[in-house]
Amino acid sequence: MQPEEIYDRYGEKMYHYLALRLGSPQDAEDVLQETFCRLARYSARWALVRNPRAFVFGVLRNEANRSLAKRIKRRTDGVSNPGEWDRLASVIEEPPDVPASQLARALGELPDEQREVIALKIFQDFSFREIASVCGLSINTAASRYRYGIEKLRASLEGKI
Amino acid sequence: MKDTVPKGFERWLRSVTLKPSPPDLRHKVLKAAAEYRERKAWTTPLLRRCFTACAVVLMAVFIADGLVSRAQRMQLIALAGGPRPTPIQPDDEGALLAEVLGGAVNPRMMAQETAESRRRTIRKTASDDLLQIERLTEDAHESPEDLH
Repeated sequence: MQPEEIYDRYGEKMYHYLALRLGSPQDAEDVLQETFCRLARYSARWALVRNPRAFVFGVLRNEANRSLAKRIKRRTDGVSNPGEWDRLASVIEEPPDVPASQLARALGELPDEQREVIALKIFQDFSFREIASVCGLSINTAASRYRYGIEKLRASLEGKI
Repeated sequence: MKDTVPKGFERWLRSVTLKPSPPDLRHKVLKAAAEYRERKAWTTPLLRRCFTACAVVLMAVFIADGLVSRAQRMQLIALAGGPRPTPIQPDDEGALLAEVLGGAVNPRMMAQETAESRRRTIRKTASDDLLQIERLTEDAHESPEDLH
């Protein structure tokens, strides 16, 4: 599969996944670029790929993890910046009941693994089986992470919806 | 498990849409990927074509060389009046004998034996010569009158 075809099929969804995962549109753009470079390197493997979407998101996930690891290393105090998730609001269309900034902050407060599963399930329409395959989890673990994540998100937005 | 997920909230969350990616992102990403692929490729298209041409030329040279040398050999054989029987080399004699003896004596032993026999012959000849010289000398001493 050519990079143009991959982008046309999954580019938009990849960008959204990265924005939700990293909390920053700028970082999402950078990591998306790196992902496509990596996919260009893997061009010979395409003949062996059975599920292109799972493969693309697997590569994307690895790049996102690398970027997050670098970010954690860069932090000198080891504490995340409380305002760093506000940038995510620029990617979210203003919902009818809650300000986008509040939803962005609520998503940012979730543990990364729960946010990831929610991003894949809600915004990418992945099944739990696909999530399990992309994240290297069991289906039950993927489902329970989703459930806990949704509960936490609901609790933090309670009374606002 | 599905019962525990608040359906109303999930539906609301699904209704939240995300803004499309910046319009120039596609071009930027694909350009970066193309540049990366070009940078990482150890051959350029021109170099690949050169490699292919070289391989074809080499193959042609090998084939032509084989054909020419075969034709020359045939020509030489024809000039020499047909194939000649190859003479048995002295070193092959031992091997041939060992083969005839059915492996009872190996070629090395045969070679050693041959060398030893040659040495013995030389020694014997030399000692015979010496004996003859001594005998002649003694004869000369015993009959001095013959000299006069």
